Amino acid sequence: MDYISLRWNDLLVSLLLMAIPLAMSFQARLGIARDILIGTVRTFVQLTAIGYILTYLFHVQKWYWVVLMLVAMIVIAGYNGVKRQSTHVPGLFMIITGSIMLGALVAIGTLIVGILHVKPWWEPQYLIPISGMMIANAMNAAALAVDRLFSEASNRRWQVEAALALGASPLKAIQPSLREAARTAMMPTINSLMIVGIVQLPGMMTGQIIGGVAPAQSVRYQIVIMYMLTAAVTIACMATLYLTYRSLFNRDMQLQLDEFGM
Amino acid sequence: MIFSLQHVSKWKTLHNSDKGKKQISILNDISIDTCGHSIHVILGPSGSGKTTLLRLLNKLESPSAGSIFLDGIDIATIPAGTLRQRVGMVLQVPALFDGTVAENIGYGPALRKLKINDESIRTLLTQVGLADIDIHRDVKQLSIGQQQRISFARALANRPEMLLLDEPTSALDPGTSSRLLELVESIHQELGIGIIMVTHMLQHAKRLATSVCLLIAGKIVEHNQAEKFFEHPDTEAARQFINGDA
Repeated sequence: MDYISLRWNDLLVSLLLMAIPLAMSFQARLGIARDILIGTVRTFVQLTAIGYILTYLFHVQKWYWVVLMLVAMIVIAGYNGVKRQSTHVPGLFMIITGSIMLGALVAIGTLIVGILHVKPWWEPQYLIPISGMMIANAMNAAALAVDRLFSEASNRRWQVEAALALGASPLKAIQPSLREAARTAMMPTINSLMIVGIVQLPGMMTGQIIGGVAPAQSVRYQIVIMYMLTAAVTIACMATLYLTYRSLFNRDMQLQLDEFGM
Repeated sequence: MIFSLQHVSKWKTLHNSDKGKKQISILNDISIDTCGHSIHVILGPSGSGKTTLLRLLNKLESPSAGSIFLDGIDIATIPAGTLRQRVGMVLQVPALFDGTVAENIGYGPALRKLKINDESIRTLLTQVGLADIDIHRDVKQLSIGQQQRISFARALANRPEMLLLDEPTSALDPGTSSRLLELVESIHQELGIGIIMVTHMLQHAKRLATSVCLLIAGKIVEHNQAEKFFEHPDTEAARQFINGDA
């Protein structure tokens, strides 16, 4: 496969371009200059580090290192999903982490074992980058779903209590809020299904093409990835919602928004 | 159906971002018995704990201390769903669900896998003074007064043995409020359902109540038959409240 390799000083040219958002932020007093600076450094450090880690993983070829890497990715995703919440929900880390793991495992398992027939199944060249995409998207959906569930429950508290007062179970009473939260969380994924190939050429497909893969092949990869992503996001989102809504109610089927300062 | 409250207290923890958590007392050592098929009015100024008291009766909240008995059975031992079907509640705002009039009225029976037919829905609508309304109409198109009547019909569709009304006229104009009070009277008389109503409006209590319980700052100040309460109150606090001095 032919591709143009990048040297460290090539990165410096791209770094120069970061001066534009930085200057604009100062000029317009956007107040995000610090974030741009931190983001620029973090992008460099994190990606360079993962580059070395992947190189090592590809080199040592041990299944347990690959699994450890996957577990670390899922745990960090769970932690980030919780960190984004404005409401403290007991047990949310386990819920989000477990849901991401479930969604990612179903999608990755199908892809690695059922479609790509990768041997060995833990081949890091396939497992790590594909898992990264699944886990990141599942994390975004799960975090968004929880946030939206709490704001919906707060906005619809009268309807929820009216339903409870008629004898509805907590699940039945909160169902409109659950639906709205799921719709909101899954919308970015559904939208990308609509515009992929028209407005957006996804990173993985672009990367494969630059790496010398025939466009027809990279497109097939992308189609598979899009479907698997949607499955992972849906599973993670629904699992998170169905495990989280319970914390809004107590054993006596009472809505307890007060507990969350709402 | 008789509620008996024994030494019921309720306190809540307020979460304040500046001052952290703070505990406040809402109800303080309440002990009363409600009468079976009468209209029992819980009267008191805003913030006196009336709504909380009502919410305790169908377990939308639980007491922090004390016990509540329904016909001699501690409601802590009755499953919330069962209790709430027996004891209907109409909230301060209509809180209708997205959908049609028929879907809203059929909500309670549907929870028990019962389908309520159009004729029964029309009967309920007639009982709440909305005989001419299209049952397939979207509830968002109705006036607030009509919506509150639908919420009465929705509660009645569960065939409750008692209705709890939490300031049901608070969102309504005086004319609509007056018609809604007529509705409460007719539900009580024609369906024989016991009613416990919370209000801060003295004239509403005067018009409907069989017995009155005056609640001030989370404590029962007086509990009496309506006629006695309004004509010859036992306490100075009740006298002041009736005269508008409280």
